[in-house]
Amino acid sequence: MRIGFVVQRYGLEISGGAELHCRWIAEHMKKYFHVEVLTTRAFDYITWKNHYPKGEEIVNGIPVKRFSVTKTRDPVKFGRIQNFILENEHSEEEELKWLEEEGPFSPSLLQYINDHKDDYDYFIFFSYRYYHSYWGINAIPHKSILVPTAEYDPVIHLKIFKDLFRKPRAIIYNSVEERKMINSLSNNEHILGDVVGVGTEIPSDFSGRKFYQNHQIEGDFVIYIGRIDENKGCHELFDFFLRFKKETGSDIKLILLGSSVLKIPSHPDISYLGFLSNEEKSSALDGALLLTMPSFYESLSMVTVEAWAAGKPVLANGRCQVLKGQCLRSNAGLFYENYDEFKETLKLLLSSTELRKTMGKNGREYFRRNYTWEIIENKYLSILELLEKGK
Amino acid sequence: MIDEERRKESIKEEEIRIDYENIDVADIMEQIKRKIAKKPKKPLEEIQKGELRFTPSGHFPLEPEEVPGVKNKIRRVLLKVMKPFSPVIKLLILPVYEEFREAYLILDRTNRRIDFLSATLEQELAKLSTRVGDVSDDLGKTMEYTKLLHNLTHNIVVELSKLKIEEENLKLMTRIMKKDFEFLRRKERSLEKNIFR
Repeated sequence: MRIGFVVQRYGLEISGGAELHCRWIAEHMKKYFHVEVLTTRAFDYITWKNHYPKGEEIVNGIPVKRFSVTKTRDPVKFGRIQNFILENEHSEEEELKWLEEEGPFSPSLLQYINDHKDDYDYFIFFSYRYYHSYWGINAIPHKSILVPTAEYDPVIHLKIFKDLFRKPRAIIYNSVEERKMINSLSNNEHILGDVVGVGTEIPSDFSGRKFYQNHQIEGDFVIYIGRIDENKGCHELFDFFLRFKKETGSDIKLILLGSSVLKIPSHPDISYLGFLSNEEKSSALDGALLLTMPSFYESLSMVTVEAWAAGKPVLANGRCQVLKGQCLRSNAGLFYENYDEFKETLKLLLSSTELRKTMGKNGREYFRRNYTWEIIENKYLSILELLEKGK
Repeated sequence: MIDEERRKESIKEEEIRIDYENIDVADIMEQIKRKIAKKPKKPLEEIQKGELRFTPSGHFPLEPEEVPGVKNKIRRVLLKVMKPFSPVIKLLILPVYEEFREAYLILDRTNRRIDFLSATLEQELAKLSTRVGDVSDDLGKTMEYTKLLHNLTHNIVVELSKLKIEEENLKLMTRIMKKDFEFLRRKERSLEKNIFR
């Protein structure tokens, strides 16, 4: 069987989101099928400017075909169009215009899919909200599988997406909440689907103690891993954390890992260590008391799954339905919806070693039941098998 | 040692009861919410300071736009005239602005909550209506079945009545035949007597 993975960006340098999700799934599926990746030359997700060379290259043993983005995104223009369609009554044409601005606008990628549709058995599209997914699925619905990676953000209510979710042969969801949301928005229960998510890779060589030594950290710390951004709830996290310290007199520290697009408060107990390797990230998780995940919008949160795999409890933003649902199902994390809840939950987690230990154990068990690569691979294989039977 | 540690922890967290053998996050969160609800309420400004201002709007940030035309000119002239008084105006407007902003943020958050709840409600209503439809189908079938059963019972009663009458008739006929036999037997005996005499 020949499978094409279609994604907006692809590369070893891209360290999160749907792109990493796609890379990991493609790398695991290559054991079973002939896998190819069809993507753009973009690296920057704001402008989609061409960065990688055109043509084919091999990334971790997988052929990657890159197509040019012919129109880069102008953030100001895009913002204006998005605000208009979110605030006003509008037509389907205006939604499609928004989609064109959203990008990545790469007609050659779509042309390739259209011309070579018979060469592939299935195309797996990642991220519902981009140009390539919408037009790709519309061109070859009978060979499409969609991994929506949808969050509860306003654009999901656009009419074009309501129809899109009814078109592919199968949908692979990241969480129960994502499936529920998409089902309720588009009444697409009849489409074959399963909640799968993504596994995680834990490096063999990591140590919390080494992390303490390498970065000269003293005392206990909680960790945040990911993009440091307002939409990820980081602004709120800083405020809550500093208030917590002021009110409780706790000596806990906050360590931040990842790229930053937000000003980080200058405080002796908040340390930003930038972007670290996988080994160092795992060491940091190992050394932390818990992971905090303040994001408002998540369709899965791979970092949360990694924390559970490492046996660490999680303190999540309860306004994100996915994180809340994951905490409730795993019994491996607490969540907050306001400062008072943040204070109480963090206080409780910091004060009880037993609670952290048991929650960590629950997290590891939840990971073992749902997110090991064996389970993820089998779920993908079952979906493809069902599709083959239904041919 | 572990018991000692647990005992200390239970003293520290006397308000939150945790079953460490079987942790239930929903229950812990319920207890935390109850504990918070018991605390005296904070003034609204503090709540606003604390969390509402961070709720993301989902909007893309825009640069301020220049408004062309006569309106813009008038606006510029007015701004120039009012410039010396701007600190006083700002001071006067600030509480109203803060209140407006506070109300806007609360409304925004409420709207998002309403959106989510109404989506869930719609989904639940759709499920409920499907269920009602199924139940009403089942009810219709049950009613038809009951009617059939009623007719069947009625027919059985009629048939049983007929059978009873038949049985009575047969009994009567049997009695008559018995008498006839008796008569014939007596006749046979008298005839025999007469023959053999």
